[in-house]
Amino acid sequence: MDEQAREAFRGYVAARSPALLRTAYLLTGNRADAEDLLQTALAKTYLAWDRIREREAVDGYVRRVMVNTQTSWWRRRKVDEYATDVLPERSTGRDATVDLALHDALWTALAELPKRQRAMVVLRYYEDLSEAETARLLGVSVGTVKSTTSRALSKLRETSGLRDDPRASLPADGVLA
Amino acid sequence: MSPIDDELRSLFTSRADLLAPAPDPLAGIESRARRMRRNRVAASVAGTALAVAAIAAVVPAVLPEKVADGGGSQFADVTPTPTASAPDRAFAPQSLDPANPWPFRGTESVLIDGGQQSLTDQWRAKHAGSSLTPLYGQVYEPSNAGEVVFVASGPDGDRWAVATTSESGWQILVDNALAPDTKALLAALPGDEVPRLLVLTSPAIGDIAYAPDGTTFRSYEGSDGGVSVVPLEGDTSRDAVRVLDGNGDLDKPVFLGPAPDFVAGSGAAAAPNNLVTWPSRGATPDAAFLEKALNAFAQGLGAKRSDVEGKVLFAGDDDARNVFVFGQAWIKGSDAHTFGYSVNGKGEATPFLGPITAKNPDVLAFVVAAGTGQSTETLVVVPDPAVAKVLYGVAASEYDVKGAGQENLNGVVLIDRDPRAQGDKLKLLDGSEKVLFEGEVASLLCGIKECG
Repeated sequence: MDEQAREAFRGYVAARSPALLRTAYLLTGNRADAEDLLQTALAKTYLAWDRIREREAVDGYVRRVMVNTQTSWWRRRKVDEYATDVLPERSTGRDATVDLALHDALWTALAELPKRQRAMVVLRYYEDLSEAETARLLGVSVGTVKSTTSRALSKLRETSGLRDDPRASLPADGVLA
Repeated sequence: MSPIDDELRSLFTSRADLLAPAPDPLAGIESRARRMRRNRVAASVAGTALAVAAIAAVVPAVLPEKVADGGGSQFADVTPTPTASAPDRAFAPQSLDPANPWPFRGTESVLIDGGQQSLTDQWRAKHAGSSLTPLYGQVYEPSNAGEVVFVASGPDGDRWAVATTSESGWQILVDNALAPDTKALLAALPGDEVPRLLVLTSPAIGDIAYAPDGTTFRSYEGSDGGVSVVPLEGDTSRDAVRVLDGNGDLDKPVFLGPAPDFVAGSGAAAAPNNLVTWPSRGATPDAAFLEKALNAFAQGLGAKRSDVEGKVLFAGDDDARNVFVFGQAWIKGSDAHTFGYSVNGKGEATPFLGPITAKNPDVLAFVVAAGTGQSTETLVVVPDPAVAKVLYGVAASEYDVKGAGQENLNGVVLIDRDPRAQGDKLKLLDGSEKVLFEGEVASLLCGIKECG
């Protein structure tokens, strides 16, 4: 990699790593794994930098590497605990206790999703990718994205205790067993 | 938009946006990239030093035809397409040499606790005298099954294979001869949603790409160098795999060739729906013994051994020195039969071909024939693990509790039975004395062709 390409890569990392770290965090569920995942993905991107001709496509390349790498990590690491070092926010305008319980339940349910389902949910609802964009990024059909996401949402509803009206499904004390 | 969509967006935003960026990530990235590159070069140089075959210098102008699959196998032999390689020693492509194979990658967890020994035993039952070296291991998350790619050498020549763990032990999904100068191992494996293409190459390579149409390649990065898993979707009749060296040289690919087809209904996906879910109890059967049993089952039904699979429910021996194994066996794509196999002290084998197993049975049983000088045969009763009490009666109204003092059999009961017995019965009770099964022993022993 020549100095000009290296400078371009530095610029890309500086501009995009905070956003990519957030995606990595949602894919892995904890900060340590997220940093490791992002560093691995960016190191692979660094090695492939000269081959990536369209700079606009770099984000997609890094996301794809993260999803593939994280999938393999999940296979290797039997995760028994899903720790978080970030406290959920306390929003205003809604019952904070209920919000907290809802988010905790949903976060726990997310951690129990198979890796591909979790990746699709993150790409669809955090990255706001369309079904077609998600399909392209993961190398699967739009139909697979639809069916997998649907199964993931069903599982999230079931596991977290959410129903179509999440507030109606909560017990009075806001605690989800 | 449904409420759960809103909740997910709210959750993701709230959790992710509070994340402070990592301080100066660039130094760590460059350091890790250098380490990755060093590893690739080291592996590449090692492979080059060991290479004994001259490397062809012909660039294929067009992709070869799809690999022929005359035997209906889901796995294609991956004889390397004539590919070119640059005479660059540092990034030379590396062929798989069984004497000095690629380093192991992936997870070793599937091979610990006797896993590798049992895999070796299973493999040697099929390829006697063969030794194997694992190349890659992973746990396929949806099924939680371990998968291992390995290379083997022995009287049957050099081979490469893929095995997966199953309830009946290791199951060999791929068993192919290893062609000289092989640079990529490709296997189409069953998946939870769609089949998967596993690509295993030297860790020295730079890029693995897949093209569903044979021309539009897309890179598939895995977490381990030289390993990729690609979902197989849609029309795969023209799909192809391309492997590039560490320089990413598109003009001289390390490997360029068709991907093998996946055939649904074979391999691990072929478990019958009447397979019982009980755990295997008793002793761990010897792999060679199990192989003989399954051979006997195949012969009994006029099937090829390669089309037969089995699950062990109980293995052990009796006072007459009969060694036996009991469980289910089936021809791929068909329902499972109850099946037993015993060998007496003289080495004489007796297979037991039972009926097609009922779905969710409460009990299965088979008979080990009386040995020379013995007046009784052994009735092996394998109940559902939920059964608390097994009663046996030779007459219509009389029952004796069986199984007391046999706790080491984990609920399985061995009963000395008169070979001339007729009308003898079994009654099974659960922990609350509720009757789960009551019926004649003969009803459990009906053979494939007739009863009794």
